[in-house]
Amino acid sequence: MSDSNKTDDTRLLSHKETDSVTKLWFYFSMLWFPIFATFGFIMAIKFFVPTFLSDAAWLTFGRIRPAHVNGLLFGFLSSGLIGIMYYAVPRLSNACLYKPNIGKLAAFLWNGAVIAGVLMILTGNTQAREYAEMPWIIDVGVMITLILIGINVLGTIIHRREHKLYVTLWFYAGIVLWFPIVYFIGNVMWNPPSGALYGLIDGVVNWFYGHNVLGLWFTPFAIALWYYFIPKLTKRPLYSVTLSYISFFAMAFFYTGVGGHHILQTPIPEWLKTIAVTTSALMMFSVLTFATNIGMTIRGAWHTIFSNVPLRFIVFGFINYIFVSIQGTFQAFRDMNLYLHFSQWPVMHSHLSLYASMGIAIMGCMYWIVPRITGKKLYSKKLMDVTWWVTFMGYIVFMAGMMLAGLVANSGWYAHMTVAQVLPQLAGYFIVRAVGGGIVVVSAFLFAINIIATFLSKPLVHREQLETAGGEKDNE
Amino acid sequence: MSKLEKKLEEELEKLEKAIGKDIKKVEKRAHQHNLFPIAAGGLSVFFLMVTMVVAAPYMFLLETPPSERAHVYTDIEAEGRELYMNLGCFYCHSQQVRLYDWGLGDPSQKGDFVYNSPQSLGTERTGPDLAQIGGMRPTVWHYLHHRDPRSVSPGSIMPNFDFLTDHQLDAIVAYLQNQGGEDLQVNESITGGQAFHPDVPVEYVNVTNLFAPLMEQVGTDYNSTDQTYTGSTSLGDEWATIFDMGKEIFTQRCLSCHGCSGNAEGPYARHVVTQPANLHERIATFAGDFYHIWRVSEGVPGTAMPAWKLTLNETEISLVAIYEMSFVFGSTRTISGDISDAEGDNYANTVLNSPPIAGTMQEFDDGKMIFNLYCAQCHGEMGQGDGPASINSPCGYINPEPANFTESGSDFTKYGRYVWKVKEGVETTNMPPWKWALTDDEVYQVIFYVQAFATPSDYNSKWGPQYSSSFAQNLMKNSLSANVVPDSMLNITSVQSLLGYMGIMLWELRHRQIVALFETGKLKIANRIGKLRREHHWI
Repeated sequence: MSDSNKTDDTRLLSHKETDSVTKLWFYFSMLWFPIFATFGFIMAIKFFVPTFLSDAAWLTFGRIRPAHVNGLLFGFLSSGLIGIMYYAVPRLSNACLYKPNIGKLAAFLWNGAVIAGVLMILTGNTQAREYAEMPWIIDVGVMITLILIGINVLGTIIHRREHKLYVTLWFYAGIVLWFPIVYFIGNVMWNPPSGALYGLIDGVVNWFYGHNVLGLWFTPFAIALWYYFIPKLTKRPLYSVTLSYISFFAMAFFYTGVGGHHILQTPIPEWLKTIAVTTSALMMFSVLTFATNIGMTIRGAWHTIFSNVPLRFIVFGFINYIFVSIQGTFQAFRDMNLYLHFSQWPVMHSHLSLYASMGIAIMGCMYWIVPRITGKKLYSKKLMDVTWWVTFMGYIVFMAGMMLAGLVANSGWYAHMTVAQVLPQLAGYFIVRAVGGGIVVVSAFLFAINIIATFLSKPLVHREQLETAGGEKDNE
Repeated sequence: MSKLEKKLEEELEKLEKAIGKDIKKVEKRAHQHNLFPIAAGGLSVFFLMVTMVVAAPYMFLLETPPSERAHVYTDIEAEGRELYMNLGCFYCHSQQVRLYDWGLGDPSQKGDFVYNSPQSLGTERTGPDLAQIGGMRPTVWHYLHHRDPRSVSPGSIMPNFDFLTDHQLDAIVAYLQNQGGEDLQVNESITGGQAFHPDVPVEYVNVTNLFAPLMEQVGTDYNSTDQTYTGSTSLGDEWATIFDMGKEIFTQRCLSCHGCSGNAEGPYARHVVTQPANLHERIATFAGDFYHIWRVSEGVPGTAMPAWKLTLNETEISLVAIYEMSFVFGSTRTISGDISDAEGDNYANTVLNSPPIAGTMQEFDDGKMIFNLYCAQCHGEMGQGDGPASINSPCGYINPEPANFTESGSDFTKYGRYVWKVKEGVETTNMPPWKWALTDDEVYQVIFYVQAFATPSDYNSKWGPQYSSSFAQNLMKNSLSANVVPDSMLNITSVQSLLGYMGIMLWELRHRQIVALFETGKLKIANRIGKLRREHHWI
């Protein structure tokens, strides 16, 4: 049951036109990453130098934070993941992309919406709902883009020439069907311009969306990516399709219901809390079947992550995905949630999932894909190697700082200390977090420089050079 | 190709032709070809769950009646709420009181939120919860806190919202002061009234503090920067009597909750449901002495503050109130420190001049516990006179400054002087007479601990030999700063094994101490890097 080995068949089909769409998404993605990561670094400094950049409203923490979150989520991560999708879908379908011009339009529309939305957030035109801050008019743009992407993806899958329907494609098909609905409901788009309901139900809807932007948008994208790239780069067939079925349907069902665990101690109905906790636990079905499947696929090929740097990024992301999912399930249990809520720990959790798992996987994919779609040699393999170690070091320090800050605060609160009493104790950890975050920002810049330089360099002539362009030592 | 192979191939071809269709069918079963089951299946389970977690709660919560705390926002409050959401205050301040929360108000109910759109439940508590903040702080406090948070809340990391217009600030304060349903007349405060405080009952309106005129009189002749009193001696002595009587009552009655420095961190503070008042902050916002007298006399309903009129007479209430004023302005020191020293020497010569305890490790640890509980808020964790309440720390107010125990001066020459000062306090300063709060043994233990703040040579010549236990005698023989070594060694090794050098760095930031790890594996701790340098002949 080989998932992908023979599909990258350029002898039969030219993906040149398709790849121009991928390139377009990647241009935006690699630009947003260092820019909005820097926003995060500014915030990290504000935690111990509170007067730092607070002379105007748009520079304060309350504005920079949503700009950072939206910029990275919808700018860097989404553009990167969608770009990877545009790379994988035509190849797995053994067909040209269905209506590639729509894909190009979508790229401009989406990223235009991101930059307009971020600017509106910074100037105070926000809907003030976490993860759903973008104003109504931007939501409309996003909805249109989602539909355009859906046409591309479903059109290509329906017109495919490959007999099989690969697992990766299930997830892509799932995303384009689920997410427009999630987005419409979560942003309360029938209720412009506030995009909000009155009372507690607004919290329920907000967090249905807030979690599913992860669960039914980023996660399936990332899972699809791992299902495609890990068998391909390790040259191993996918272990089991049956496990993939379980993980796919478990995800569609259980992931959808977990949002309530974000507001577990508010007076929402008790049965809704029970659903949230139960589905958070049952989500492990999806995660563990997927992890087993990929783990068994890599079995015997673990050594490849030492020679193949892009694969190392991708597999590191996969490992972090397992970490963060187990963490997420345990955090959703009532007593754990009571203890861990409200501190920097959840902030660490979301960085572990969105940055360490998906962000790092995207970096690996772009290192691998960009030389192949441009026909150019990667600007510097050495720099890529350095970037890996900078990323890894930043990851350790960054996560440790937030984790410790969270645990110290939580233990203080648990002992009935007030927020004001605990806060001065956290300064040291905040500094550690800023240092780690700074290293992460440096890695983002190194990554962007490398990719931009690759785009700007001269194309290679010989096919052999092209084959080793991606950084693997062994030939394809 | 051999004949056999050819034949085999022919046979295979025949076989394939014969069952060709079936092979494809088998393949079809093994691999999913069709998008429909995936898409339809994925969508139907998705919709099933959406019905459960969105549609059903929608029907349940739609008709929620408003609770007593919920109220329709007035125009200015609505404007303030709009700003609150717009400026992203909700990213750091939650607005939900959980069942398990403490000191934040009643647990939130469904109906509390009915007028909120969008919701502002929040997910983080980088700052305090604001669900029921209305009335918890003076209105003026909110104004100051938004302009410059650190001016009223020293440890705050909130940005300065100095760029807001006056009207915007009015709106935000109006919104916050009504969070939780208490309808307070916020804007009166701009004209100078203290609308946050409830009205004083009529019988207290004309009450004055008996000793306020005396306080003002000695205050005019006192220079707080160089701590010199130039007024008449008789008035100074009268003031000292009044002040120390107030201090005695405070130590006996108030210290257990409000703390010896009035900063609301007394030993019982964490055991009462509502936090005691921080007297330094709170008294400054009182409208006048009558207000102070009323609060002490009648207590505060719904808190652990008793109605002291049942226990104390009017004079005593005036005395304690006048003493508490020193937490706002600092003490007026009309009696020189020399007098206290002389009394201490007299005590040493006539009553006691050597430790009645042996000086064991257990006694040292007990002393440490008492020191951290009672003394550290002024004298500082490291005994340098720079605790959070001390004038020597950035936001402190206890003036004259608390003693610095690391100084090796002539201040502490006799054991008896220590005992006297701890047990009887120091006249006209905030050092309380601890005989009212601690037993004799506790006093001796805490003195033992405090003595270990001295420099090693001081300790070894003066204090170590006085104790009979070998622990006390050898305490400073091998180490740089004895009172941190015994148990912090444990701290270090555990943190070190966990995180290596980063752990040490963190520890250093927390405790303001230098840690040196020598190549031999020895670990040394010192307050200042200079000490280590001198000790080990570094450059």
